[in-house]
Amino acid sequence: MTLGRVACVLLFAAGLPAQTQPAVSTPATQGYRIAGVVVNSLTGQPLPAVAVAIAPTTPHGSSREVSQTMVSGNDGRFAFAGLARGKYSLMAEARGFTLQSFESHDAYSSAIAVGPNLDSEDLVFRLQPDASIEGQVIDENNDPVQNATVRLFEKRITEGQRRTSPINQGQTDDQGHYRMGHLASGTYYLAVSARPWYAQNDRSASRRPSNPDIQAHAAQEAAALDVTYPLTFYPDSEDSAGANPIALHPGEQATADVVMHTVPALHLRIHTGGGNSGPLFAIGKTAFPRVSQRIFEGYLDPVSNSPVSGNEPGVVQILGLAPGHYVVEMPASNAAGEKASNRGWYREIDLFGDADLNVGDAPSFVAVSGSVIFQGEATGPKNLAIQLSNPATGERFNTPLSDKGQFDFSNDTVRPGRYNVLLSSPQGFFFSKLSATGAKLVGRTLDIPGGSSVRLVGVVTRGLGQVDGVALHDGQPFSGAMIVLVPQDPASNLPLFRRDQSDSDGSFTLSNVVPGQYTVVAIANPWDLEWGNPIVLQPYLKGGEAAQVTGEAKLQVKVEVH
Amino acid sequence: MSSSSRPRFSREVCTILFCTWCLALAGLSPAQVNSSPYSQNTGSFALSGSVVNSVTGEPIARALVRVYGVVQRSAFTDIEGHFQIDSLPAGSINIDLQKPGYSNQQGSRANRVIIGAGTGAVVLKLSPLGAIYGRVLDVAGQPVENEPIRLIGRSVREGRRRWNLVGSAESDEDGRFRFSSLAPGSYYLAAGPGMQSEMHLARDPKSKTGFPSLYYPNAPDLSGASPIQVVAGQQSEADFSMTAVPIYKVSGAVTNFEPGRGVILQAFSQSGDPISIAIGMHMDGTFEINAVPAGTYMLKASSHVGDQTLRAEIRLSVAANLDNVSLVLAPVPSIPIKVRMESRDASNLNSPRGSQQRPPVSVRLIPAAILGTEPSSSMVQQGAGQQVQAFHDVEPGRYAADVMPLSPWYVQSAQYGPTNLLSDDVTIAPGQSYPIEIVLRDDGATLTGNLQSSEKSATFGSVLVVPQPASKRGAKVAQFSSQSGFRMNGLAPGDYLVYAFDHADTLEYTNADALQSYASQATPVTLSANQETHVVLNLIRTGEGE
Repeated sequence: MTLGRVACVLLFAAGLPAQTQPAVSTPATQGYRIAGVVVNSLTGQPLPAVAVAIAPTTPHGSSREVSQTMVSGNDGRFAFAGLARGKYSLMAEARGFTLQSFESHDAYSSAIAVGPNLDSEDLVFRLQPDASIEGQVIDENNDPVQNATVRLFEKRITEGQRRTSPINQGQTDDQGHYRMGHLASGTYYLAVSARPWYAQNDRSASRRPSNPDIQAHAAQEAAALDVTYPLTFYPDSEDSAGANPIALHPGEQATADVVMHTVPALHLRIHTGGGNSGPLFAIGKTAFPRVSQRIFEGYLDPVSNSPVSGNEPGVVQILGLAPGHYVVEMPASNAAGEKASNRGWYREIDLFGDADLNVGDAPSFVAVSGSVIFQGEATGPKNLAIQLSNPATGERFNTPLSDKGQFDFSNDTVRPGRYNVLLSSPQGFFFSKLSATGAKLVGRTLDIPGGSSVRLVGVVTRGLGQVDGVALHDGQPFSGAMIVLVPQDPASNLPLFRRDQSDSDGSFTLSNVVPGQYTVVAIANPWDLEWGNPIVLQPYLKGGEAAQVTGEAKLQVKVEVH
Repeated sequence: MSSSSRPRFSREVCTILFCTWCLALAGLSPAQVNSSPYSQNTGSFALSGSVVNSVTGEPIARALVRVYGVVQRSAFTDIEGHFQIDSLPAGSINIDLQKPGYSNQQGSRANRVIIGAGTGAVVLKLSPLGAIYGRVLDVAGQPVENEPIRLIGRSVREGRRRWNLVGSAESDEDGRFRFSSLAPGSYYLAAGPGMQSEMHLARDPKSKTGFPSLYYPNAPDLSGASPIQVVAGQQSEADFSMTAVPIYKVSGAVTNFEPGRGVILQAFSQSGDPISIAIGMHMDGTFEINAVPAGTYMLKASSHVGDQTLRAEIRLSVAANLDNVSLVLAPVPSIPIKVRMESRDASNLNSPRGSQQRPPVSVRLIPAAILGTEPSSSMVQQGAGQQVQAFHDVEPGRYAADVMPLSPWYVQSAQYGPTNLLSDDVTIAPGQSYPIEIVLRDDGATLTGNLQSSEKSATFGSVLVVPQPASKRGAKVAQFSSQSGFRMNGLAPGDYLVYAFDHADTLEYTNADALQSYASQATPVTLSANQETHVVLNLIRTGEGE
């Protein structure tokens, strides 16, 4: 069952030998029961005073509100009675245990199926205790660093690939302390961004003496305080490749201290071009440069500790940068009345000293636009949107699709790269045809080369399908398996994948499926598997079930779990 | 008369004055000082010294020492608090000190040094700041997470003590909170209102609970609260024990606004400080507040019609679900300002500085209540020389009036109905409106003065001229230098006490009690119309800024 989504009830009676089922004693007139014990997943000990709740899942894709709540007894036991047949999501929460669903992984969990011949009374609800990471950020002199931004990254499977993505952040207090709680177990990294409290990065702020000797001294003086801290990864590395992972176990309170080292600050002067008269930050013009660094596997991390100065006309200065490789972007300025021909630009630079950037020779962002026709209908719905997502950098661009089928990513900072194309919030629609000029489109993957404009043309059709099924192992329903709907040419069609987790009776639902040919795969304990990687997926495909999904129809399959 | 709000010269002026002074002494000193201050570029003197904690006397490592004068230099103190700056030219310099956790000593008059052959090691002091930390626990001793905590502190500005919100935080998952870098003084702490937020699943959906607004240690309003003293360099602990109360729903409507104009609805504790609580408002003016912990609150609504402000407020005691709470917006009456100018010379009534149409006076209404009636610290002001003379948007409440004429005019009288604005606070009540009536005269007195000749060290300070008998009428403040003394024009005739302070920044000089201890060192004077009077003053050392 997917949290927040629902499967229609599908009992697959034929494969369940009745004599191996434990006796279900509740008579139909009194309703069914969900019962069991809540335990600490780390110690196995029963947990008293845990709030446990159930919410019926409806056939229309959303769960109703919590219908019953109770508190587990001293023995950790809980019981809900008088329930109608159906599926219920089961949740629990306690101090030190963040709200969790039964057997949850990512956004998925197993719902409890309740009815005749179903066992829903011997549940063992393993609650994962919260973990935390705390520590101190100090500088090379052992002084605390105040107001440092500490960002937490987690290495986990995102969209089928193992990636390191940001999940939380905090600030250090006056003693340099930070704390991040309510964490699940996993592999984490810390990145700290800060400025030294004594940093004076705006050299122009000091008075200019007329005497050149004094000027030289003053410059020397100013340089001594024109320093910064580079983005630093726990414990002490300026390169994400040297970052130490923190392997956090359930309930663990880890300590991670970070040391910041001062480096001379560099200045980047961006010449925005004399063509635009008037000050850069005039009303109606929002031309703020964005400076980012590539960290981990290519994630674009915005630099947050560098002030921007716009004193000189035609020049934007970024102060206080540490040496390194940066992506500098200047989004299109949205001045009133100005046409989007001023598309904004970007540059990737290696900064090892003060530098000047001329707008003139920087490549512009890629202009991506397109049009679709709605099959069988003159106009489409009003609130569809198209998304370009770049899994490597973590960027996602959304733009509305007008009801006449027009769209334009003119406000977005699209750089060359590999993007997935999809309809976000599809509402039953999908691309039945899609082609591109100016870029290479394979399946749903768009490779955009440099210096181009891209035009996408296609047909949007109504009618998404659904696959319902049961996961079996040795003929028995298997709860908690990951179900993956794999499209043909999986490497180029990531947006077509669908996933679910089998419920207590082995059933699952894959919804909003774009019609086509698929393989349904069921994997036990797959939760660290890079399911989006075709090489990893290959061995499982053999044991999967072929499925031909058509629009607005429900297909039923049974899959063997591996 | 020069009456600026923060009595200090700009750095540039200080430097020029001192340079002039030390050039004048150049002939007396054996040091080589050339006639042009810029020709000796690197200089041959050094400044060394140490930076210590003004409370404990202990050295402070890694403090930033910055020297301003003809040249700018900086250095960090070492592990023993010592620093040395070389290659300084002779002359006077200012020293700035900075270190997190200590109050900024920028432009402090105490840190001026003359660089020359005889300059010895200096000992500079930094005052440590304090901190307040604590825990929020429920009656079962369990930590309360995400509870909003507000820190209310006071500052003295322009001789007036005002309370305002100086910080806010949320308790962490251990119930802990911390406010740091606090100037020594008194503070109030408030917690809540809040929900038992980490529990999404209520024990019993029908009786969700939350925590009411509470002032440390345990009072529902500010009048019952105990202030927490923050002492320099120390941390004060303040823990809250919160009793869970039931949560109710409050709904109602704001009426009488122009459709299409926005309405702002805000919630406050019963003591008037803003609290954050989720209010859902609709376009038709109806609203609901779904989670209000039992307690007493104030709701205030405001909107605009043209440039007229509409306001409404209501006090709510929430002990059950409340429906149909009604806030009827009503226009805030304008308070016109009428100024009469009296002068023996009729031509003065119509000059570039001011005329009957554009009187040379500005008026401020400063909220007098402990936290102000406005959520943000604000003063309602009418500027000098403006044509439209009226206050349009004054929230009901108590205010102190500050009437500031431009020299050479002085305020002979200022009334709001029966209230004398020069001696008393004024209460603006809803629906009532008098004009503010001001009479200005230009036959004021001039007061000049300087320090006793026994005061040898070159110094600057603030002169305070306080009308007698003591009243709320503003004391007049001016700078003085031991060289040139001071001069004030346009003073109303009458009796005064004149004080000369070395530092008046943190002095609550609008409060007669605060001045009491210094009265014996003040000089009484009587001023007459169109007369110039000269006084000689003792320098009163307040012991601050050292």
